[in-house]
Amino acid sequence: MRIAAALFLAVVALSALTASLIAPFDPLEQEVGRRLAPPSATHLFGTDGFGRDVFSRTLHGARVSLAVALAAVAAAGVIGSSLGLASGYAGGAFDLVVQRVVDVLLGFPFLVMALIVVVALSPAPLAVAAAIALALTPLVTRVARAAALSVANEEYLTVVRSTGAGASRIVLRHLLPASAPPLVAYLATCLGTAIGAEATLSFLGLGVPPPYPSWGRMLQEGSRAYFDAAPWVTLMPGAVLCLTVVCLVVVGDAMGDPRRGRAGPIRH
Amino acid sequence: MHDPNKGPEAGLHPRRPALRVIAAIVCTLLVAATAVAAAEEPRGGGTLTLANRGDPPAGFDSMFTSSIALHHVGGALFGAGNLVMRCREDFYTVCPYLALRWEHSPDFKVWTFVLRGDAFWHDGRRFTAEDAKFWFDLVFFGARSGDAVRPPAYFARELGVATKVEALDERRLRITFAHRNAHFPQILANPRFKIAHPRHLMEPRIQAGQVNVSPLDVGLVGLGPFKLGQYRRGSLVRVDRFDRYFERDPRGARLPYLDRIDYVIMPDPFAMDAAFRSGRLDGTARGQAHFLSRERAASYERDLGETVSFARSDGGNFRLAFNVLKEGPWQDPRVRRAIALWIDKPAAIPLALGGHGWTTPSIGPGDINVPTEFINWPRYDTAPLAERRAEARRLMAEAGYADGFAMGHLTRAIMTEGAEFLKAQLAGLGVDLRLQIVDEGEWNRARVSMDYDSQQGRLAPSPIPEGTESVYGRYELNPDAYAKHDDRHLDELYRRLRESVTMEQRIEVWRRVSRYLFLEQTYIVPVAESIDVVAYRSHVRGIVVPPEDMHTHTDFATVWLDR
Repeated sequence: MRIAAALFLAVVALSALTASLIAPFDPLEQEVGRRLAPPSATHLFGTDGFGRDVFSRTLHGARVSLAVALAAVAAAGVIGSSLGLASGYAGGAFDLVVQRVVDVLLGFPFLVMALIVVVALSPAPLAVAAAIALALTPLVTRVARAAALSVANEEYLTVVRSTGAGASRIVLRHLLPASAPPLVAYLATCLGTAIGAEATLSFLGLGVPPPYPSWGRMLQEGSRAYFDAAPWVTLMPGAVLCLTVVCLVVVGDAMGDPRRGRAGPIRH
Repeated sequence: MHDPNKGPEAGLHPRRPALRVIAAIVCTLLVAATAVAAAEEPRGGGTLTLANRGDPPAGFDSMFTSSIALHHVGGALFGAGNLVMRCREDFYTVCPYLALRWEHSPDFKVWTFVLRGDAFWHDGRRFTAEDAKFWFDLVFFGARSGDAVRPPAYFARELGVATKVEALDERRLRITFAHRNAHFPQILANPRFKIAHPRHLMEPRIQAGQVNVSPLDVGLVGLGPFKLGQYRRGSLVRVDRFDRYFERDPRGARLPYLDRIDYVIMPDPFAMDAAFRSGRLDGTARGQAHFLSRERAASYERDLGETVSFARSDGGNFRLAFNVLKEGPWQDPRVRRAIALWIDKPAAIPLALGGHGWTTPSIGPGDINVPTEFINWPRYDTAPLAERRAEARRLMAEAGYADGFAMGHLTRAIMTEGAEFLKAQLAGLGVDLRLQIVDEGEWNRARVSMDYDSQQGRLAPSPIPEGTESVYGRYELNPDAYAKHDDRHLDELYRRLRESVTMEQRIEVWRRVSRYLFLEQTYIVPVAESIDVVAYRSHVRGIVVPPEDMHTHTDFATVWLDR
C-alpha cells in the first residue's frame, strides 16, 4: 500500500514536471467541434465545455496544484519549524508570546484564514500559496515545539551545553535533526491538506484565474455547468485529486510510523 | 328487413350521418373550449417565488444602474413602464402607462403628456404631473444642493437634450427639447427608465443636501402593482399586492392577480438550479450566468418533464469593446479592425453563450423598425474566416504590431466563459488578453471608469436605433458606454437619427452609425447575440415573455398560479 502510494505520487510529480512534453494537447486550446466529448482513445479523460482536452488540463493542473501546495508547505515548514523549535528550546517569555500568537491564529478555522488572506491579496497562485502557508504555519509551529520539548531535556543536550555550545548550534545541530522525523511526516500530511485547500479556493473562484487549469478550478467548471451532461469533466480531475491526497496521507503516515527505523528518535 | 346495425333511433336521421358526426364534434369542441376557458381564467391569490440574481444595486436607483438584479424586482415595485410602456401584446409598440395620451409639436421638439388620474404611490399619494416633472428634472439635469451634486441619469442623453420640463397642471406634463426628437415615446418605453423616485419623499432630502438619496432610503415607495413587504439584504425581497394599482385585465378585473412575490436572493446559479429542481422556486432568475445554458435546460427538461416550461428571449449582445481613451495599440483603428476580423464569431455561441444565440451586429431581430438588412451578420465581413484572418494579420503588421501585444480585459466573475473564449481566440493573432476578473461591485465601478483597456459583457441595448446612444455614444456624455471614445462625429449621427422622421431616413442614418461603429472605427466588436432562457414551473401562468430584452415585463401583474 505504501509503495503503491509512493509510486502514484512519483508518477503525478513526474507528470506535472513533464506536462508540457507529455500532454497530448494544448490545455488552453479550444475546439468547438469536440466540445463535451466523452473519454476516448484520443481524449483519455474526454473534453470540457470549450472542447479542451481534460487529460492535458489535468496534467497541467497538477503542475499548478502541486507547485502551490509545495510552496505553501515549504514556507510553513521553514517558518513554523523555526518558531516551534526556538520556542520549545528557549521557553520562558519567548515561548509564552509565540504560543499565544499561535493560539490566536489557530482560533481561525483553516479555510476561513486562507479565504481572508486570498481575498485581501487578490486571487493569484502566489497569493493562494501565501494564504495556505499562513494557515498552516501555526499548526507546524505547534508540532515543531512539541518535538523540540520531547528532546530538549535529554541528557546529551546538557553535555552539549556544558561544552560551551551556543543556542543556535544546539538548535540547528541537535534539536532539528532529532525533531525532523515527526516534522517531516507532518509536513507530508500538510501537503495533502494544502492541495485540498488550493482546490477548495480555486473551486470558490479564488484560486488560479481562468483559463489556466488547476484541479480545483476544473472541478468547479465541470461540476457547475456540465455535471449532468458530461460528468467526466468533473470526475476525472476529481479522482486524481482525491487519489493524490489519499496517497500523501498514506506516505505521511508511513514516514511518521515509529516501526520504520528512520522515524525513531535519533540515538547518540 | 331488419338492419342489425340500426338501433331504435336509427331512423331519426337516416340520411344525415355526416351531420350527426359534425354536430358531435362541434359539441365536443364547445365543451372542451368551455372547460379550457374555465381552466385558463386567471385565479387571484397565491405567492410566486422567484430567484433573483443578487441584491438590487445602487439603492434600487434606476437612474444609476441597469442591472437586471434591480429590474427583475423593480417591475413589480415601480411598474411596467414609465409614462409609456412596451405593450404586453406587442413588444415593439408603445402603449400608455402613466400617461393616457400624448402629442407633439409639428417640429417634434415639444412633447405633451396627459397623465392618468388614478395612479397612486404605495403610501397613498396620488401621482401628479409635478411628480413626473421631478423625475424628468432629476434624469435630465441631476440636482444640486450647496456643494453636493447629483449627476443626471446614465440614460439622460438617450432621451434627448431637454431644455425644459413643465407641469402645466395636475395632469399635463410638457417636455421641450433642443432638437427634434421624433421617437421620444419609443425611447421612453425602455423598461429600464422606471419611476422609482417619489417627489414628496425625496425632494425634502435633496433640498437638505442629501442629493444622492436613493429609492431604498425612502422605503421603496413606488407606483407598481406590488408594494414592498420586506427586504432582507442578501436574502429576500418580498412584495405584496397593492390594492390601489390602476391596471385592469381585459375582463375589467383589477391587477395584479397574485397576493405576493418572494424574490429569493441567489447569487449562485447552481444553488438556484437545486432550489428550482426541489420545488422551492416557481421561476429562475434573470441575468447572465443565471440564464440557462443548453445543457442545464436539457437536464431540467429531462428531470422535470411537463412540470417545467421555458421562456426564451433575445438577450444581450456579447461584444468586445475598447477603451480608446486609454493609451495602447488598440487606439489604432487598424488594430481594432484586425481583432474584429480575427474572431470566429459563430464559435462563440456554443463556447461562450451556453449554446443559445446567433451572430448579429447589434440590434434585435424582431424589431419592425429595424429591417433585416440592419442585422444580418456577417453582413460586413462575409469573406471566409481564413481570408479574414489573413487580412487581420496584414493589418496588424501594417500597424506595427506583427508580433502582437498585451491588452487588459475587464470581465465579470459571473461570466468568464466569454473572456476565456476571447483570450483563446486572440492568442492566435498574438494579442495576449490579460483578464481582469472582477465581482459585480467592481464591475459596476470599473466599467464607467478609465481603469481598463477593453471590456466584455452582455448588455442589451435598446431595440430601436435611437435608444442606443447610452451604450455606443461618446464617453463624456454617456459614462456607461461600452466603448470609451471621444468621437464627436457620433454626436452628430445620433442627433440626425433622432431628427429623422421617415423610416427611410432612420434606416439610412442607422446604417451610417452602425457602419461607422462596427467597421470604420470598430470601437466595438459585436460577437454574437445570446438567447436568454428562464425556467418556470408550469403552474405559473400569464407570464409575458418579451421577444427580446428580459428587463421587460417584469411587473408580473398578469401572472397567476394554476395549482
